[in-house]
Amino acid sequence: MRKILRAPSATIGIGLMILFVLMAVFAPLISPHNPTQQDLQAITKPPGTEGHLLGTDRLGRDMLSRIYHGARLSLVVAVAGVLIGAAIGIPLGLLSGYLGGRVDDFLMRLGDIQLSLPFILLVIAIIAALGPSLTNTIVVLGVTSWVLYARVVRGEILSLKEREFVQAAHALGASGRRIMLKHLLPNAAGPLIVVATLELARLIVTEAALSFLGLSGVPPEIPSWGQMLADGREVLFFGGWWVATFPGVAISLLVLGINLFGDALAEVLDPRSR
Amino acid sequence: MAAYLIRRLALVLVVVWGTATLAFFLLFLSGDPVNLLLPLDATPEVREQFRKANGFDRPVWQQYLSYMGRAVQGDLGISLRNQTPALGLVLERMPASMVLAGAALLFAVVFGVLAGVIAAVRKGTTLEFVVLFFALLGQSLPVFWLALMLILVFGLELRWLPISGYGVGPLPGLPALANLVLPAIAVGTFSMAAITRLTRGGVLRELRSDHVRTARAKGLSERVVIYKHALRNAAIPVVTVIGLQLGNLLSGAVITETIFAWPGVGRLVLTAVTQQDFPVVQAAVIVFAVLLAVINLVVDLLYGVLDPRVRYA
Repeated sequence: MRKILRAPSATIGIGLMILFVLMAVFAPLISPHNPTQQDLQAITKPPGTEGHLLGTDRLGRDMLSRIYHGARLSLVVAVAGVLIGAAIGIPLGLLSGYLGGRVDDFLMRLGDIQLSLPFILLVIAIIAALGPSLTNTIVVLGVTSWVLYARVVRGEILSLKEREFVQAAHALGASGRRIMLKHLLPNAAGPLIVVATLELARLIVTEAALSFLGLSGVPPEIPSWGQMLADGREVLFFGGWWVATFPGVAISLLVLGINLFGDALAEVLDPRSR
Repeated sequence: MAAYLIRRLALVLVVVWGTATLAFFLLFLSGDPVNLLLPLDATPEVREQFRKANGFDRPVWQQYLSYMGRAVQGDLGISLRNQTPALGLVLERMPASMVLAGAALLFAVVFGVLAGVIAAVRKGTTLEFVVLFFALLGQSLPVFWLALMLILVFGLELRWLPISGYGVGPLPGLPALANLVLPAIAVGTFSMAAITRLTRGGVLRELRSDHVRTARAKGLSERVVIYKHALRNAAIPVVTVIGLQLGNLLSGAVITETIFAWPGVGRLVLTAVTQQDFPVVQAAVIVFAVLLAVINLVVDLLYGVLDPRVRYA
């Protein structure tokens, strides 16, 4: 951890991540306005207007407050998606690597098929079939992201399976389950954390894309950066540049922070990538 | 080589079959395909009629077999909106998407490789830092937001470039060049950033290698050393990543086309989703899978051209 912190870019990355987490946690306390409060006397006011630091949208809602609250949705959806993806991918990767043979073939081909589709198209198709809802969005983002976790775990296991300490555990009569969980999985922790970081960034962008396209099923009363961008697109042509600009800056900074952190992490955990 | 080709082609078939299976079962995800295919206000009688007419009253495995049977013959169902074959609708829109993805790829490769080489050669300078910062930034900007910002700056403020539509190109079927610029930059930036970082890493590695030291010792000019000796070897991982990036580019195109009113498959799919025209969505998924599987095969074969050490076994 100390090594990670030594790189200045990592410090910036962690700083950005902490900033957004704090923003999400304390959103109700730091917001100058109620994020859903409409004010028809103050529609599309530019940034710097009295009481509205980042201006208002076309319903007169305060942009800054909405951005604070939007961090909540983004982080909750992405973190939940990462947890679901890891919860499915890691066991499948363990099985695939440890059992080999047909199970391995089947799972890895399934992964190939899935990765051969543009991710967003797959997600859109599934959501079109299920109907948009916030729960569906989280579940679909999570379930469809199992492949990378499984691949990483499988790769680690294949390289470790024949090593002495695993053989020794076998010889001592350890069960397959015990070997997988106690001896193989901990060794895959490093690469898994890197994958989870990158997936977190990707899911934040994907959720925003779905919200932007109006497919995420996020109820209108929950502020979401993607929906704000979609609103912004409408007023872009009437001079309201800020409505589309600020939510995008928020997404970009959060994703940039995660990427900076992930890069530093990858460098420390995998010295070959230097 | 022949055995390798056959094995790879078999894999392409497996991927296509798998995707078609997936597309078929998507219909059943929500429980009843009839609900998905008919408007909410359809009467029970209409539903029953539709169920019978389309064979949804048969066991699922029979439906699956007949779906696959028709798919093999190029029949991916009828668009519920247009009442024309869904495959035809998708293929009709494909060239526009390919042109966009191709232009984005060109943008990404040209500027990505250039920036990567600059960063590697100027290692340790401010210039390297700036290039790397922009590369990381490029990987963090959501494509749809970048598209909006490009429209705002170059379309609405500066009024340099058109912000919507396909335009009339130099050849029939091609877009006007000016119309292509902003969508291609929006779609290609993420990949450009990835290629920049990869090229820099590759060139740095090569510049430290023995054969580059030999080339320098021979007295070759720095330009020849970098472009002929280092970059050519560094290009191998870049080519692989291009195959992977195409998936990204097409994903980006799916989202970006709507913003720029680009008449491609992405816009077709999104319209189909809002109109509940599910056969079109299925057809698009299958066509994209076939396309990407073939492209990846071509990239793998290109590998051998760049790196004669690669043996296909």
